[in-house]
Amino acid sequence: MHARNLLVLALLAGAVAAQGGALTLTLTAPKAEYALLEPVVLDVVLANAGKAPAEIVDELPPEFGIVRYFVRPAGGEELRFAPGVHACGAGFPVTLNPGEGRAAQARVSFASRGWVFTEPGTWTVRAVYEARGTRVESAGVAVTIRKPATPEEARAAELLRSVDAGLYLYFDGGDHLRNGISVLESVLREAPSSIQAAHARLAFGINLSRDSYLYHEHRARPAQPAIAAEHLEAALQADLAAPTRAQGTLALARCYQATKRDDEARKLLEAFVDSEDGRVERSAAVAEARALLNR
Amino acid sequence: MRSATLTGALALALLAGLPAPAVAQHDDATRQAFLDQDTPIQVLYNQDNPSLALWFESMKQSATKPELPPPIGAEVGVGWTGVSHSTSATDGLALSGGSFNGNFVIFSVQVPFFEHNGTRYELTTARRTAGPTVRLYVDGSRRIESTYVVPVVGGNATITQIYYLGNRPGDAPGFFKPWIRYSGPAGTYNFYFRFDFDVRGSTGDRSQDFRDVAGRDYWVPQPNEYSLVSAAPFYDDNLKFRTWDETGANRLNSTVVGFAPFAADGATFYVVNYSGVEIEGPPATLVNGGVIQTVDASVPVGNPTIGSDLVHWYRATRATTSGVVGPDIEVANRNPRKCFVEIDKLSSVNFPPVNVAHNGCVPNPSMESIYAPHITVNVQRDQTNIVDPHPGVDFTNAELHAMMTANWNYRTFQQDVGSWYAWIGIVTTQGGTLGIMFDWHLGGGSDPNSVGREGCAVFHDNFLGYAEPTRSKALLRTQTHELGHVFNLEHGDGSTSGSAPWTCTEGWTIMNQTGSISPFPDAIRYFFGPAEATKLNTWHDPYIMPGGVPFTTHPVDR
Repeated sequence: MHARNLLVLALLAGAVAAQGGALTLTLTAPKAEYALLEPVVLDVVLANAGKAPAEIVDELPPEFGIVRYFVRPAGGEELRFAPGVHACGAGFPVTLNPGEGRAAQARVSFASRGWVFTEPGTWTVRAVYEARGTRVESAGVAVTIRKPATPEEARAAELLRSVDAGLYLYFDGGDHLRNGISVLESVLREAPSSIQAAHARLAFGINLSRDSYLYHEHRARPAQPAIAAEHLEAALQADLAAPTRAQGTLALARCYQATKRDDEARKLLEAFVDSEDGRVERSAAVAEARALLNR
Repeated sequence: MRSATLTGALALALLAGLPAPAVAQHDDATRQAFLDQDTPIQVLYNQDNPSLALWFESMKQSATKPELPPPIGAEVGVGWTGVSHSTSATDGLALSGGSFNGNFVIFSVQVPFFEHNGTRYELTTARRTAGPTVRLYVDGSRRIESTYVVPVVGGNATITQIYYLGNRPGDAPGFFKPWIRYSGPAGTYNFYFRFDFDVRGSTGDRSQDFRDVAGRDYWVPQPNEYSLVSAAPFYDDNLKFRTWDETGANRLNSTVVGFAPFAADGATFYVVNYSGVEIEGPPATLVNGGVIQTVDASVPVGNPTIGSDLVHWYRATRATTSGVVGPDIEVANRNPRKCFVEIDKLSSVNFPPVNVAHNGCVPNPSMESIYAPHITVNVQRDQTNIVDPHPGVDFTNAELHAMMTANWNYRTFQQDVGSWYAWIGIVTTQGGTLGIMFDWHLGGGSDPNSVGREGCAVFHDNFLGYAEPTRSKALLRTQTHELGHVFNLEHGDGSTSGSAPWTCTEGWTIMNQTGSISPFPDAIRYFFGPAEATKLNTWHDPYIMPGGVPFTTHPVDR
């Protein structure tokens, strides 16, 4: 969940930023609109737009609490986003030189009490960074939730009201969340072409891409990279938002490597680096892709 | 069909972590089960033995529970000693007493009368058919019971006063349940519980009532005032008031009564000023739909038995023909909050140390000692060999959640009345994160109890870069810090004081982030500072206890 060091090389298309002294905090919604109960992942960038180095704490996702996120429905009251996981970083200061930035992703669609964007409409999300005496506010970014475009999308949203499914999607897995798995399997059966189904496949794929231990059953569950790859390949066919696509791409590449499909892994990673290199928001994913290429 | 507006409002409530509407969690059956759960092992006193007209015994706890460390600066409350309970053979009166900061304080309770269909009936000695009997139970508690049969319109009403006096391990001194078990003809019953709290003598008492957790107000302590109580955690709704001796120069005699009303059909709380002394506090609507009223110089019935200028009355209304009714009270305790903490670890890591030597602190700081001025933490280092499926590889939050929900063996174990529960997992690593806390309030589903702030984890391997003793100091600190999050403390609550050379009581307090502490670890302060202590000591239970309000929710937010 840590943001990574990078250079801010380009303007952030579609992003809105606010000035806080020399620092700017920018939130970006990578998709123009989302299906109802489609997971929403925002890009967040803290950048130094001044001429002098600045000290920051590089813990930008909502779970760390250094950046607080606020959500407001159209015409409604703004409320603080309360994540279900609170993470403690060390909070060590890092130096942000002029022109540099740190990026991270913010999962803001599932909070400690469940789904956030529960109705179609335009919601506004803003963020406030506050650490070591520095406070920076972002401008609000619109998150548009469309009305169900197809009967499958509507059915998927209906099924995903289950908090179990939401928790599984937030965690990108969880073998112990049996109810959530069952709901997501229903989404695959009853709404296979929906964007929500793609997210279900993505979470299934990521979960199966790695070893785990079923603590409730007292047994190991080895990774199943071949099955995981099938899920991830299907998911990546859909219109996933860029942060989610990056996550799925890296997971798929690892599955390819684990199943000796090295050429496919290389092509996938090279294409990803080519398309995303230089984008501040994807710098961590690009670095990880390069590391996988060098294995 | 639910309207979009309503659904949206629900979503907003969920988003904000707003609490569900308060629902009393106890009913008649639950209370009856509590009363029936133990068999007395000894009758200490009954009416047939008049030589024991006054039964008085110091609580075991005073002898067995070690005194807590001496106060640190101005953050720690003053102590109670010699807490005891007694009863009287003649009037059904039960008393709690003890020395508070060197001054003897006494607290009494009785139910002198009740009303049935608007007519008042007094519980006189002539109407008493059994008791008072004092029984000792195997768990160390005492119960004082007296039964009265009273002719009322439509038949006889049978009223039993039951005073449960907590004395079990972990019970707060002064933990008290004055209940009424009744049966009788149909109609409305109002039971009047009378509470008299005398601080350093029978005159000069003053009182302030606090609003309850749903009352959107809470006590901001004044200098030299200390919250010394938490009400029974089983209730979503509770009331607290404090009483002090106005002759005290700086309110060091202040104490607080936690008052958790039983889910009566209605409950009313009165503050009665018998001598015209000013009564402070904001009368307000609260307590399960009842109201707090200030009744000035209007004595309902029954002058103060012990002789006081200030008395509190609690009226509970029932419209059923039988049941159990009455509040739970905690009073006269400096450190009543308690939490059982289960710590489990992976086979591949070590537990953080029990204590560490640091800057001349005596004794060595431990998690127990750090919390002792605020919450009695009972640590159980339990499982030592949980499977690590991928040593050295990052744990996902899903895996941690599974590990927690599969291994919290003591979660449903009844530690003692009023004890909270929290789980800590010691695991390997997750990026550069030092610890996490789960805070799910999902209202059902695979999260087994949908209880937020229920557990946390410490990432042991992220401390391996430190040499000893810094590693041990950091691990103990982070474990204590994560538990602080479970108690709803935030990083912003941390504070700092002093400068090099660092002493035991100077430096950065527990809830500061590690990166703020400089030099590390010398400037670690293994104590909570003013803001942290204020929360732990004075905020109502739901804001502190694991499973209470969502993380970062403040009383003023509601």
